Amino acid sequence: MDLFSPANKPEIRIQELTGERIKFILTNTDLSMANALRRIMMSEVATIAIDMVQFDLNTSVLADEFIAHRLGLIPLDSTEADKIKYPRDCNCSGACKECSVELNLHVKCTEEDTTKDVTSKDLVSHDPRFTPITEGPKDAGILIAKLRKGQEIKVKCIAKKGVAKEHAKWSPCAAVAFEYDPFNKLRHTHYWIEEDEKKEWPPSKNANDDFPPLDDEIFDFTARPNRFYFEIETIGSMKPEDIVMNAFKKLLEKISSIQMGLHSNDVPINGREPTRDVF
Amino acid sequence: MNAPDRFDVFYLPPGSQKMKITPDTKVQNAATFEIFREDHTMGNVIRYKLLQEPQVIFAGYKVPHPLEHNVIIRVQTTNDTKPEAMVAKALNDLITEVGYLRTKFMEDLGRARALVIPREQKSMVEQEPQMVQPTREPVNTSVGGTGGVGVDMDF
Repeated sequence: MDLFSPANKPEIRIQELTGERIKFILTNTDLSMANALRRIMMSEVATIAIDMVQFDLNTSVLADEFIAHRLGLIPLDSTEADKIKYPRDCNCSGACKECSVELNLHVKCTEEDTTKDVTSKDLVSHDPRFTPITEGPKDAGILIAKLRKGQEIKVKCIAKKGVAKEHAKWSPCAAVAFEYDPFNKLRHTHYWIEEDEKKEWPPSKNANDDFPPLDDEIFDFTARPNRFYFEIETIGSMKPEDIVMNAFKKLLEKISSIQMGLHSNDVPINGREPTRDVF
Repeated sequence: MNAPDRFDVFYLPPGSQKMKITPDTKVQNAATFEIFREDHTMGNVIRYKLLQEPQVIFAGYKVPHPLEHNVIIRVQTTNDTKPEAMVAKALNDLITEVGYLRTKFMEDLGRARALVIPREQKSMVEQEPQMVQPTREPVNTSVGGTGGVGVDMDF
């Protein structure tokens, strides 16, 4: 197939871009391509998250592992995540500056009759590039625990780079909305109805950007989806457009790693030499 | 105990094979390609590219077991070519298409960014998100997005 014949040039059109979300339409490509992009954005874009927590002191009412879990879910600024190594690729034995970031948390409640909130703002990062995210000075931070008088938490956290395939805390996306064919012209879905399909299943917002079917339109069974509506919401660790950019990069990396695997396949299998003259 | 590493899902140890090609013993010009540590993401997209080639008679993929992180692609081609060549071409075409999409996205990002308030400014004054008007067909309706979404972490 000629990829660049004018009729089937893939297109991307950004419709909305804010600090926390991006909306775009992907056209003239296949469902599998759109789905690959969606899957990679959700689970294979690398970010930084707290992965190990050492408790020096915890006299709060919450269990250590409970607090450790909450710490892991706090979004850390990951715009420079590519500058840090994966822990398994690093030569160090445990955690070093090249593959981890240390954050400290030490809070003690001294107030008499109120509880003290321990928030993500109390986390002190050793690396200014990787800090818990805040929404400006007015942001109260993410609540980790509440302490009564005399209670104290002192922990050392090690944040590492990872992907959401390993643990969802590394996902940069809060939500990825993905839709195609809002009018169900392809009949990929079957609506359960009481009386009237049009009344009971109002079209989605994306229908405004799609082509409504004619009243007497005949079902085209050869039609394939080619307009995909995306909306990506970030958890704050990364700009939404960076998530998409990193997803493209990751997709290219994955394809090239398979390419390399194909080209380095010299081992004869089943006694037959794979034909290689074609390359 | 004997649990595999968490990163075993996607990480192939250095030096190990990424792909195993098994030619079919009975059918001519057919082979299965087992790709290690890949899933539906790549399987489906490679299959799509293979099916666009007129020389490909059959292309399909499967993830045989949810706990084994491998994908199997089966390809049969006409006599003019070999499955390996078709997979190589499919991968090349994929790189072209993804690379093209990426440049398209970057181009459009420049246009979209010009219409956006910087992040810091936005968080201080709670402003409505700026709409980038879709200039393409069919209907020019911008869908209103909500403002900031706060995460309620109360317990």
